[in-house]
Amino acid sequence: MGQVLGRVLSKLWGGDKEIRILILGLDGAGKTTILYRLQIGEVITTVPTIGFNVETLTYKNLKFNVWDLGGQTSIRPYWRCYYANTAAVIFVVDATDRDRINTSKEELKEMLSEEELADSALLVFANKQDQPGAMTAPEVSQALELVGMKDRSWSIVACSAIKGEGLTEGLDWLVEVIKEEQL
Amino acid sequence: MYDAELIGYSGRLEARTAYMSNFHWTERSIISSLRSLCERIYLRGEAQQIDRILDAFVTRWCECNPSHGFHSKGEFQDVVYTLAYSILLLNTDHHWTDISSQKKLTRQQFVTNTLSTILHQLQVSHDASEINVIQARMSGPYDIQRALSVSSVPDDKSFVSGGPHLSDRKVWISRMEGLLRNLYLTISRQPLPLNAAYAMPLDCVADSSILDANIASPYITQSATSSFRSPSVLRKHRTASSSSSSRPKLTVHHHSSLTDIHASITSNSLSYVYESIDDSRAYRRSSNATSLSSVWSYQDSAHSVPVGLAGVVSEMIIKEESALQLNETTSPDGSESIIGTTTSATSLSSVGVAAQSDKLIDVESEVRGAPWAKEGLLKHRRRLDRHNQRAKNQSWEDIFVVVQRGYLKTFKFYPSQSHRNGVFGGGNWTENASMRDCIRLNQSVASYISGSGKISWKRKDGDDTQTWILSLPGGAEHIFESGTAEVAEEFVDTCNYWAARLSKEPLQGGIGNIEYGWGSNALNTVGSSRKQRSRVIRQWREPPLNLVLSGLNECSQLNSLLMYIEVLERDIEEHSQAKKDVIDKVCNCRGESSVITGLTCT
Repeated sequence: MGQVLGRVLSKLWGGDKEIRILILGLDGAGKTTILYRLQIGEVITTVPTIGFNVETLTYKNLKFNVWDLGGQTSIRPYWRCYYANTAAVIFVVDATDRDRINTSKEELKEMLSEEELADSALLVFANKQDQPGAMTAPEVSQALELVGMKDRSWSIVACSAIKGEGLTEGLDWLVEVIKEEQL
Repeated sequence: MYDAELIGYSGRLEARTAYMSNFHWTERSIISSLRSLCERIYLRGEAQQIDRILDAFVTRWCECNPSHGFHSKGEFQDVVYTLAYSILLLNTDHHWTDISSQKKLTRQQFVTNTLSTILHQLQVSHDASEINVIQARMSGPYDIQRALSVSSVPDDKSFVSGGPHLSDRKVWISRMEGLLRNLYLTISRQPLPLNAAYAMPLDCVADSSILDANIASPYITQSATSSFRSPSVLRKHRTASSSSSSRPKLTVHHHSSLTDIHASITSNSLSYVYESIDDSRAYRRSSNATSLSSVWSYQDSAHSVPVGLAGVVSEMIIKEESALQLNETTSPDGSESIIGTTTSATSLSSVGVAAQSDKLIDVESEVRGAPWAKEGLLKHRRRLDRHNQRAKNQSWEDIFVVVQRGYLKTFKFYPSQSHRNGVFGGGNWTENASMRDCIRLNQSVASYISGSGKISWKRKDGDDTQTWILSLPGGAEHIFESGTAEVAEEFVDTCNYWAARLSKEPLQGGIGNIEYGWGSNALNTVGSSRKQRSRVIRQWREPPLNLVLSGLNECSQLNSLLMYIEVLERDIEEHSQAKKDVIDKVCNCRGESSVITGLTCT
């Protein structure tokens, strides 16, 4: 009885629910920094592992596994099993890099066209706001042509990963959306 | 020791190729080659960097094993790449302790997933005619018997020098399946080696100090990087996050030396006798270290920073002294005790002077009292611990409060232990007190409570409110009561001064397609047809506060806050425009209460 109740409760609060999130973006956009900075809550000490960057964080009763996966296009089918239960995509843009914003746009477009990501929310971090000349969030949304996107929840948040600014704002949004849409 | 980031950058193709050419993987399986690579390199990093390294690895491996049986050669290295990639992914997935076991890849998942990718790649990269060519090629020169006999070994060795007879696709696939199964077993039994990751004890120290210093000041960061030369951003954060409990060596050193000096000074400077300190050799010796301490003062280090007026005065004396010292050449007699600090202190000295003069003003103004600093005996009571959570112990207490440098610290004196050290009235009251709370004041607000229980931001003339409340960003609330209204005013001013000084305005922007009810989308659809309105309107919630400390000086902080207020006022104006529209359009509709409440919230 108690077990059942516990299970129901944990379902309600999303206690033991692990949420898979992909963090994407061109190299140098600040994915790694964001990944580490996202551990706002408790830091779980982990054994270093060879391979891809994964961070686990618990935030507002949700447990996130944030994956920095990438690789050649030929590997895309491989991701499918990872895509399939991805709740959200965090896309990181270097807001100072106006030359490559178009490449970013293409990358994002291609990624979101994956069937397995159709239901996932999109959070864009316009990173490096601490540097002069950084594009603002509205500018980035225009450059990425997000404004017309209606089929998924998206949000652009300005942030400076190195200073830790804006990350909680983004994560809060993500938690809201995930709790409402997927739990 | 090589690092994934070092050779993973996009411009370093030659470096990668050259690095890989040191490995000789002839007749070695992919997994054992990968293991030998991981013994040399800490293969961890951004996805793109990993990808490039894997690419170089695959190229080299194919070079060493030109006649491997993976169907893919020359420009088609996809299968080998996929295998290497899948091994790496499996390793991450399997040995990353935070992933709960039911979420880990199962063997079946791994096999089907990888196999389908490989088959997909073969179809994409070779159309029908090409497959024929490949089949012909495969069936040609290879020694099938050997391949088959080797294949009983649970490894991909069977593919290294040939692979099975590929005129029969099924055999190849089943062989591949077996290989993948074995890969799964090997990886789950034995993770890829981590040897390379352990050889960085020195860096750890430097790294965590860098992260800490980021918060405090840019100067330290410079000195620390230059003295320790740590190459990787990745490890910086990694080690800092995993070993955040252990304080960096650099800091510990300064702190301990500083507290020593502090104790020695305060014990004989009750009447602030400047001359007596001038003579004190001990403190002259480590004055270099103290010049550093000023930079650390914004940090969470509650113990090292001098507390209260007595502390400030003594620190000011140290400042003046060390400013003198910096101008002189450093005296040789002190070199022994400051070996650890010389590197950073000397590299600091150039920037230190500029920073110091700025800091000196701060210290001077602190001596002037409110609103820069304020201390005194107050009655204190906690009201809330968090939003809507009442504090457990709500009783009133007499405490000594020091508001200074962005912190409000409360102390409780020991009742009768002042004779402990045989020194009485030494001037260092911190010895006889224990710190209760250390509250950082950014994003907090202090306000008055009038007798009727109303909270107001400003004190009106003739109002003798002696009670004031400090509301913290987490929702905690502390109530203080002072003897006179003037004291309360000074405390409130000081708290608010530091709150304004340290709080950073949120970053501009933030845009999305979540509809709260006043976006153009909602407004346009509300009026038209009800059926179109498929979008969910969400409850608006206030964004979290920006808890990053502002590093600006008084003047530019004021300017940036004023600018932010301008922005806010503009936003409010726009918003109230929208409110009008919404009310016009929505008034007759049902179920839009959330919009209205959302609007009134803002």
